[in-house]
Amino acid sequence: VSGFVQDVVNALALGSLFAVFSVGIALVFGVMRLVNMGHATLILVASYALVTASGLPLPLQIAVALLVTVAGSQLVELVAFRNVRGKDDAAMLVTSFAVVIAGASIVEMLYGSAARSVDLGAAFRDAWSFGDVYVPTISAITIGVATMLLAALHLLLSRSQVGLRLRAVAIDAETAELLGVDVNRTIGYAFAVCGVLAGAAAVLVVGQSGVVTPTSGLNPVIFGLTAAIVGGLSSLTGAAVGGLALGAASQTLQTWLPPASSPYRDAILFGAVFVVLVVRPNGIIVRLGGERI
Amino acid sequence: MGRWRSAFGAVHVPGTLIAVVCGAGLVASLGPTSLDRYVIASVVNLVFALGLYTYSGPTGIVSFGHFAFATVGAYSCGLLTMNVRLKEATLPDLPAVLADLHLPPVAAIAVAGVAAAIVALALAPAIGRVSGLAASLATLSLLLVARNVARNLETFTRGTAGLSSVPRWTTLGSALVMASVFIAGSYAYQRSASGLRLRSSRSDLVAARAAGVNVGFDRAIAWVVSAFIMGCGGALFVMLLGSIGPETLFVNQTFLVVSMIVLGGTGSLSGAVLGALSVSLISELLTRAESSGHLLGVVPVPTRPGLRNLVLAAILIVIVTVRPAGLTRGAELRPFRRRRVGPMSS
Repeated sequence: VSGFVQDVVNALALGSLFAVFSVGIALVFGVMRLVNMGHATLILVASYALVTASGLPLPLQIAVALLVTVAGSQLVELVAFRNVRGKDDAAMLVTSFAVVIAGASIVEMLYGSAARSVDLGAAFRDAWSFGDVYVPTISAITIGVATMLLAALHLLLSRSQVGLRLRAVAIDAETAELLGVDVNRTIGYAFAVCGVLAGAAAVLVVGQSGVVTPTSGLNPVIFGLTAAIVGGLSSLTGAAVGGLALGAASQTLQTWLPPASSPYRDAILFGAVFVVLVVRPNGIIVRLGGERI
Repeated sequence: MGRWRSAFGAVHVPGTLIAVVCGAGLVASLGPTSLDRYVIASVVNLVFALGLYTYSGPTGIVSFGHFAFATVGAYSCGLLTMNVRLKEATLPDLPAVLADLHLPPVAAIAVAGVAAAIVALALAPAIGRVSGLAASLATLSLLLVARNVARNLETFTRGTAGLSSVPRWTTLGSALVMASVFIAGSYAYQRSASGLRLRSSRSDLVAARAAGVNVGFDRAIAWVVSAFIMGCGGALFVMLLGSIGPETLFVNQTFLVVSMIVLGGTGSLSGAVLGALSVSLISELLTRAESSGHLLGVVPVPTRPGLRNLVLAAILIVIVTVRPAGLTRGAELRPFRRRRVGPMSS
């Protein structure tokens, strides 16, 4: 039994992390049909902001990282994505790919390509034991932060003026504009939210691993994108559920695959995504999803 | 007269492009010796651009996964050309057939292409079904699968260590010959019935289907042909570098080659070729600037790594914004076309 509980805890922690990655991607996709691989750049910016601000007390360090990332998100939207909005899929994809590379290059120019270590404090490295079940504090932090962020995002979208505008732009940007919604500013808000999510993701990832490299934004986005695809890309609920599902699938494979094939876990997951895209290009969880953004 | 003109039409574009590429390659080879390997690498990248174009051009789908095929080709070629004793020492678990097999480079290139094409063939029925965004993302997931398998299939790949001491056979001449063959081949495919049907589906998917085009089938053909070219490119690549690892032909290389065809314009073969030449030129200038601290001896630049990719990314963003159809805007290079005077023109 304790083995099972352990798996559930691990799956929840991993799934929550994936959900934090995927919701940011789904939000931007929802408002402008852009597959924002540039989310990697935002996570990277946040990670290196944590490196730079590492002398400060932890809350201040995190606040600085969030602020810098939100500023970065506005810059990326303005410089790269505003101009390709509404153009064809290929143009938007290529732009977002270019943003990933540009972000990694800038970081490489400023900080070099070697790994930098950051210590966010002992709180991120401790663990509790309950009998045989081993719960790292980072897992609890991840689950807590993810729940809070998703709840806050839900409230923002369903209860606030900004949320109303975001949903309006997501459904039909042109009509929303005719009705007086400032589309540029609204998409700016979406990117700001994305910046906060990327910042939180960076804190969770960096807190756990303690190192940052110019390519460390890539993996979160790959898994986030995968989760968002499973969730149908445009639904936030779908993305969150997709994240949890991916976490669960990943943990299940980890536990049940024979040792010889367990290194292929990620290949199996990405292969499954390929199959999902081919069989159901609109995702598999989208029908369960509540509000579409 | 008509036959003569149509024969001329068939060789006009590829002939011009081959002349341009070989001319550029030969001019560059006159430069300092330090440039030699870079020039060959540029021609190999051109082969990759041709492979990617053969799929992305006619279908209009940007693929991020074609380097999965290049990886297959590179590993196959490496395994087939490595010294047999060296193979025994470094890859002890290799199946006997493969362990004793040693092929001459040209045959190994062909086998590498066929191996990539077989992998592509297995995926073709699936990839033919999807369009647009879903297709691009599906190809991306293939790239990720390929890296993971290359990392873990240690019997054949030596895991993260990768294959090394592959004989370096690729020369400027052999690379130019391969590039010329694939320019001709890619052009022949795009003028074939299948290529033309795909091009119609690129302009209007629904209309093409309504006109009876089996888009999935034609996409599958383009997919396999392009995978063959990528496999051969991977073989040339490994015989230039002498080694291959799971990350060698991954995101950065994909970015480089996607920039090539987007910069030149995905709508034409000339776009792929000119894009490859321009990106190679720009990236060599920037790589030199990165190490020397100035651009062409005039403009001071920061001596930092990453400059090259940053400038390429900026160029790409500007191109997509300002000139989304690329430098060529989908037109082919036809220097000897007679000026047509239409009845309506004044």
